[in-house]
Amino acid sequence: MRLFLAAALAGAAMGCASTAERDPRDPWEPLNRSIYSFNDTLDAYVARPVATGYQKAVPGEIRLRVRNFFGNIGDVFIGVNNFLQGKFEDGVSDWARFAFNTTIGLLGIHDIATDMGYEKHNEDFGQTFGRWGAAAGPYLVLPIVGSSDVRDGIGWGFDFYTDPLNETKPFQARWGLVGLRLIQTRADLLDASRILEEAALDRYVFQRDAYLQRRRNLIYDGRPPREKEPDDDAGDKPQKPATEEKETRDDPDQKPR
Amino acid sequence: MTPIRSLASAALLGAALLVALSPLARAQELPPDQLVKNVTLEVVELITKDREIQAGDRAKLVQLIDAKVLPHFNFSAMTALALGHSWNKATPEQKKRLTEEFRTLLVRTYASALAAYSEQKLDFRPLRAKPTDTDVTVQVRVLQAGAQPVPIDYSMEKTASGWKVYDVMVGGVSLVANYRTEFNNVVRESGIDGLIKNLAAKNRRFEPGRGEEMIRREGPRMIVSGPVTLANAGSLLEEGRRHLADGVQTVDLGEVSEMDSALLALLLAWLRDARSRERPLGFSNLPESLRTIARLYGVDSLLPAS
Repeated sequence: MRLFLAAALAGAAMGCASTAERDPRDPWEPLNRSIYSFNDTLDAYVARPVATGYQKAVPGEIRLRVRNFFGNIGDVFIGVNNFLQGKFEDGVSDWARFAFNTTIGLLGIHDIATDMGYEKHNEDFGQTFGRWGAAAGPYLVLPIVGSSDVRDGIGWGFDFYTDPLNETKPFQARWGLVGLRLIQTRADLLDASRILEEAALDRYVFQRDAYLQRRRNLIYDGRPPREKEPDDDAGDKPQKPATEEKETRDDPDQKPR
Repeated sequence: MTPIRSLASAALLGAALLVALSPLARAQELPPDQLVKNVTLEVVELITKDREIQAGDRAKLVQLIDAKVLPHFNFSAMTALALGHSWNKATPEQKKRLTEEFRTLLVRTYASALAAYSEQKLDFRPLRAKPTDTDVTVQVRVLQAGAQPVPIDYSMEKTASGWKVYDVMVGGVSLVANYRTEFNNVVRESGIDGLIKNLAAKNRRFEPGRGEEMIRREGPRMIVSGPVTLANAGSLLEEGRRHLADGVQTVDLGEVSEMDSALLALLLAWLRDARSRERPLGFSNLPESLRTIARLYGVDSLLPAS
């Protein structure tokens, strides 16, 4: 709690220094930024070194089995979320994945379902709420969890509550598994976070915009509807092709050559 | 060449010939999806077979991207899109500088993404476009074990010099759109020149620095930090020699961020130097990729760890 308060104060202080104009999608930017830098420090001193060590010490073949094992457990609620979104075919496919991988795939360590043609999906409660029409709400950076928004934050609560690992007993085994899953997830993101570092001028903004674009894309399963083009460029988030067509049409006159 | 000469001598005949030839020329031009497939497969083949690139030689990777990939990108269109409305306010000179800096940034990012590639399967989707379309999206999916496939969408536009990519979407995240807020924030605060400066500074951070900026002393230990490539190996060699003469016994490479085979040559040169003076020299925190290169060249036994 004290930490939270300190973060809030630091955020307020930073708010004075940062731009007057604020992104309409991110009204809590000062607070978000301070939680972001808290997460960043935690990542630099704990998560990244552990994940790097894990990646070095554990052969790729075994890491793949670990990834598959947790991916298999995840398929149960990916299926539930597909059913909740009315995508019955996808939901059945997810549960078929779980059935095949758990049995023939030896508790999920072999992803044989993919070879059988059942593709893995990406669903969670945040996406389900979005599909139902819930607005994203302001962008939100959660401690430890990272990028989110109000809708996805609530969705994350449901994901956490329904996590099958919660049923594992005794609790040492449960936290062992949760910890291993965290390390595996972070290790899978090592390349991505290095690229982010190289690509972004302002990592906070880059990551935020990528998150918002990504989530919108996921909610619509890769086929988001066109967005209206705002006149103001502050909240501009162009989706092809409407915006880009317009822009490229303007373009030839303005090219340097 | 004959049609062109005849165009010069008999304009009418030439024009008629050109009209007759153009559908033919268009038919021979590679369709965008085929172009993406060919270039991708060629590059993937080259990087998986090249042992120096596999061992972490970034300079060589960038060279490869320069030669094979860049000709198919329209960087001025990408920069214009990333800037949005601010692009119209830039002078031609500013546009040129912006495009150059943004290009450098994107190439470096692209090199990092390619370096992370480890033989995932690629699924080239059939193109959904009419033959007359001049603006299409070419879709490729990266299939990876135990995870949802990652879609990569190339937005391509037909130009006089063939199909050119003007945006790349990875997992639904448009690269160009993602830079827009960042760029406009900087432009709002410090103008277009501020953005140029900002981008240039960002790019310079990943460029090889000079020896004296990159070597730090802690007693008998010298620490090399930052990228070590052919571009700065010479200046590092001199600076390092100065420290060796001054009693350095250990070279710490823990902070080397990027390297190519020049680093290995550098270490061997320092080693030779120390031996000729009959002084001990050891290396600590050797990067894994350096060990690989050393093994490749069969000189790994020459590098004493400390």
